Amino acid sequence: MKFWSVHKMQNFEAGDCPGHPPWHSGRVDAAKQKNAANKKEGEKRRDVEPWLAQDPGVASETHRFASLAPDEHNNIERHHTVPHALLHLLSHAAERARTLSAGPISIAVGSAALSGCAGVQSALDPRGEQAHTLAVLFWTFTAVLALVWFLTMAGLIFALAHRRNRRGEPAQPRAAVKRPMLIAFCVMLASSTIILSGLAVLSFGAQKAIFGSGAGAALTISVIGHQWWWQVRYEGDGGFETANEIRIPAGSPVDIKLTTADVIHSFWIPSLAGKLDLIPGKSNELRIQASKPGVYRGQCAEFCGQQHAHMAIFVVALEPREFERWRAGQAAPVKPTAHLGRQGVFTLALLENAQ
Amino acid sequence: MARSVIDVSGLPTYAFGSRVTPWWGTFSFCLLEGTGFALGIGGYLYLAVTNSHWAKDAVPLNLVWSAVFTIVLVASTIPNFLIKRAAMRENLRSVRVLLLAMSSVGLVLVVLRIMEFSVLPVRWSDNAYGSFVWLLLGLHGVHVLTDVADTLVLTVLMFTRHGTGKRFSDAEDNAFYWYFVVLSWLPLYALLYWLPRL
Amino acid sequence: MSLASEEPHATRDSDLGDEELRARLRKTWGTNGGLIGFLSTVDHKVIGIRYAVTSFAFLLAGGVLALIMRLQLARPDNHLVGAELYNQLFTMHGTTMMFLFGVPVGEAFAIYLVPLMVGTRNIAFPRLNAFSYYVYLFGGLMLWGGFAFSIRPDVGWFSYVPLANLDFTPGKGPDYWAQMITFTEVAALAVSVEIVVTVLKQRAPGMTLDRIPLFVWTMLVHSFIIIFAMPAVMLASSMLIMDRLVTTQFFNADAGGDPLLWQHLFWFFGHPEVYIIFLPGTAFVSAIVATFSRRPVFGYLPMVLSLIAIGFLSFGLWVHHMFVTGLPQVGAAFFTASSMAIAIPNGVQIFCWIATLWDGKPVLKTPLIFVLGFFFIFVTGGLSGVMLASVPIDTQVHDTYFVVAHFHYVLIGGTLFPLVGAVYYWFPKLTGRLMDERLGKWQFALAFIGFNIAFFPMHMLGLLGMPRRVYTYPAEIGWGGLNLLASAGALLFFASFLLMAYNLLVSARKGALAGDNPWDADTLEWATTSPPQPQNFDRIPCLTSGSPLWSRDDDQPVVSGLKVDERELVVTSITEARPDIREESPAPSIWPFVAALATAAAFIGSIYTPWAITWGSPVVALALVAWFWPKTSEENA
Ligand code: HEM
Ligand SMILES: [Cu+2]
Ligand SMILES: [Cu+2]
Repeated sequence: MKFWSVHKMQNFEAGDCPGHPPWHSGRVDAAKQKNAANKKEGEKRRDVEPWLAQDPGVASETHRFASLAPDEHNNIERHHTVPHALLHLLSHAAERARTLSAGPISIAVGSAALSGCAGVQSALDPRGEQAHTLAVLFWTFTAVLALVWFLTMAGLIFALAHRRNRRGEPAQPRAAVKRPMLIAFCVMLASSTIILSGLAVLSFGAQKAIFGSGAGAALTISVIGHQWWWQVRYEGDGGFETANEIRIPAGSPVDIKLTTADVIHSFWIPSLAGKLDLIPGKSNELRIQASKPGVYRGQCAEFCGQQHAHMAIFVVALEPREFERWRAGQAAPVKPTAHLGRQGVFTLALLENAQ
Repeated sequence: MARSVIDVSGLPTYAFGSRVTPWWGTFSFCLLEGTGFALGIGGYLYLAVTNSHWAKDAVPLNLVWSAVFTIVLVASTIPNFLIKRAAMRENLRSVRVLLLAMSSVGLVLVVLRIMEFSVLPVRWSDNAYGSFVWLLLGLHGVHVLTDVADTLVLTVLMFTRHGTGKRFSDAEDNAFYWYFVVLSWLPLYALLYWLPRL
Repeated sequence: MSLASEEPHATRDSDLGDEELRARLRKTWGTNGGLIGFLSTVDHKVIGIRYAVTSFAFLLAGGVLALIMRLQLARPDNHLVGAELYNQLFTMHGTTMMFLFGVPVGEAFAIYLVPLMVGTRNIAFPRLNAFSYYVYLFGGLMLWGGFAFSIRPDVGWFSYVPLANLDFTPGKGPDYWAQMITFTEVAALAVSVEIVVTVLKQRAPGMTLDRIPLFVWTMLVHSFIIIFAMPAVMLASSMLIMDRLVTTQFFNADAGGDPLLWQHLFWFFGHPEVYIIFLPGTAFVSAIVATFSRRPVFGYLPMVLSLIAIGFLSFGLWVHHMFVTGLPQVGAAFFTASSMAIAIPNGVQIFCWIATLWDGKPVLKTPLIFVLGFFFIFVTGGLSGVMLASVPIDTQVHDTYFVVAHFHYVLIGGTLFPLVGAVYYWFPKLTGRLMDERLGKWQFALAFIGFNIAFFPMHMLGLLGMPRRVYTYPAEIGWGGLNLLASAGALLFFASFLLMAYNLLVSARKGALAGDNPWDADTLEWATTSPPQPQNFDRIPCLTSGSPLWSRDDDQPVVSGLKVDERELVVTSITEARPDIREESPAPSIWPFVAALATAAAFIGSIYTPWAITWGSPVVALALVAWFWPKTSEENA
């Protein structure tokens, strides 16, 4: 197939880095872009990277920007029913453990920017309402199930320890069914039913909270999956398109309409929301919301062919005013937009840093 | 040491129905093939419900050949029942005659199925509806064909010196499988020929 | 009725002394030498061992692929293998592990052990059994032969359409994949039918339903799950290959089809598949826990009921693999509930095993140690499964390394650990020699530590946003450390299997002699020699309790009156296991092999032209006629 060979020729080298700004942003004519975007990627990267290297100041700024200092946690709005102090602690502890366990080795490998980069694409580092609800639910499940795990293992270890092998013991042809054992059995059955029902109810609650909102958001953006890039379409009059980057206003919900031009893909920005597939013949809708301005990385989560690994996407949340200005600029007829897009991110980064 | 408690020397070396292992083998195959049919029907209904193109694609099928096929198939349960009875009575003459009859009925059914394919108003490659019609008719057709082949071989066997003893049990087993071929057709018939007309 | 035609002076077992009886039965039930004899055998033990050896070879092959993947992922932006090869690797790894190792290895043990455990002389339909092995072998060889010649499926072990359609994957890879599915499913279905019939109709007299060993119950449920699940994937893969080869439109959304139909059909099989692979693991655990606790498993009835419940529930979960496809929320919520519900029968089983250990006096031999590893790992995987059952949580972790961690915890913890235990446990029965205990314990240490280092970090990677099936990742994203750790663990884990291979080879020749019943176990396979004679038992045992060997009845009751010079076995009634018929068991035949060869040729040919089916079918049919055509000698009865 002609189509196939074109893709096979593409040469993808290093992956996208969340610290780097998304390069092919700005307005794109999707029809032309289809094959061109990825093919050109190598060249574009050559444009961008030396420039970054020349100006170490800018490069490190972007890294710092990406890390969005940990104390931001406190500013995130929280909506949940579970007592969250404990969970908050838990999630912090786990994060620390994670950094600790991963840290030394990563450093050895030479990736010092670990904690910063991880923050941008992590389900455990929620930066939006949906992702936050999900993280709380996740930690609740983890806590409860860890308890179950410890109880089971304690039972096992006691079972082994309390009467160890006296060798040569003749076997007993009957299973001893004793009263305490029967009671334990009933307790086990009842408690596991209760625990599972409890978890199911929590799950239903979260499901309702996340997917139940009936009203449409003020802004709807169409995302169309392609092998292996994302076409982003801002609908309405003065509509325009971008690729591999979605800009949204921070603080307000945005509906993403998901369709695909070829195979199944899955749209996933872990720090903002869970994933949803793009399926031929079907249109899905996902609500996302970023609490604060920032760049949130995501990548395609359903295997979609050769370069699935490189199908990254960035959500750039801007201050609402900034967003409106950008949008108005995009909607205007002609301009060297690719350049503008890049600049936008950097301006934002610098702003953020200055605070 | 070993103490014999049961003497089995007086037991028969074959029997009929669910007493013997081949019956259970056939039964298990009916289960799994029936599951295949059920899933095929499920897939058909799934598309009929979820896909908006389906209603337009689902042209009703011609009723003539399928009606003849269905009538012959249902009627064949009578000689089939008689084979079963004759086999259990180990009546070689009747079994031979009836097997000949069943073989011919089977061949007629195969021809009818071929006629059916030749008048289908939709090709397998036209749309998913066409694909499903061909798939389900084909799947059932394969069942008819294999059982007819089986019947033919059995008929030949019954005319050789092998036509004794355990062969009667085989004839009975073959008749049992034919019931499955008949029964599995009825839901398919309703689905393929009558549902699109509703 | 048939008594009349009976030869009056057939020799029967009651006429002979022990020595002579054994010799005569050996002759009757033995396998001939030579290549033809080798290919004609219908002895369930020989075929069971072939199944086991073949599936272990595929395990090693799949493991090597996994190691290459782990080496590639050990460092960010790595160039060891490119995208194309990596995609082929994980597809081949998953496919090999699920279809060429996971399913057949369970069958291998069932084929070898179930007839022994129920006290019969051969499996039901032994020629079908031989046929199934060759079909499985040819399917595996086809897939790997294609791999060697660069025909490599690369769309994952569940081949989602439309990616697997001709438009997006024009090579022959998915066709080979789909045909391999057909091969292995034909084999699996055949074996399941054999096991069902063996268990229902060929149990030793006196083995009433409530005296069936738990191992056998488990394999019975396992076989029923296969019977109801595998047709789905055979149907689906046939539809896929027809879409690819003869332009049907099953999965084409623009022509009235639906890619989600593929997912529904695949997972309707795919979820039960998990239990198809896992249940043999629980069968091993039941056997090993009972033997080494020195008493029967606590709660026979709850155990059997749990098994049956798992069997039913496993068909009500498939949608939890499709939570992020945008299904109606209410529907999805239903599958959350059903997925959580299956944790209950699993919990019951875990409880009963632990209760058995508690009440017993556990002897910590290698088989039991691996079972303890099973508890640790499988419970972890089961609990992360409860998380995946929750729709909202799944939207975050679906298709990430969290899921990769989860299913390796259940597959390796649930199946591979008990399986290794089972190898140590039954090796003396197969060979007459014990495996080395010290090496066994070392192997356990390596496997246990290596496994957890390899797979635990993957949970975190998934939560940190790493999707599965990516051939590389950027350094800056910070997944490098955990990935390196995982790769190191994978090396350790793999090394444990090399140690096992070494132990197997050495012990087969130099291991300590085992005797008939080295572990003082309770089930009937230990009531015969190690390795068993071709006839399994010289005299068919009769059960008077559920503990045939532990009841210490020196006066073992047996059946008499079977012919010695013909392959006769006792067919019994389903519930009471009362002797009913002396059925003739088929003798060795080359035709199953020929039929399998013809089937393979037709299937492989059909990838290139649909006419292969047309030309192949008559050949297969002829082979089948030859297979079923009675021999003159069989007509004596
Ligand atoms: C040596 C031990 C093993 C290692 C190191 C290992 C490692 C891996 C890796 C790295 C992947 C690919 C992840 C990805 O790129 O998405 C994978 C996938 C998989 N593994 Fe394993 N694995 C091992 C053993 C097993 C076993 C024993 C089974 C099953 C019984 C198994 C079943 C699977 C399946 C089904 C997949 C999914 C393939 C796909 O995405 O299509 N693995 N494994
Ligand atoms: Cu993708
Ligand atoms: Cu599942």
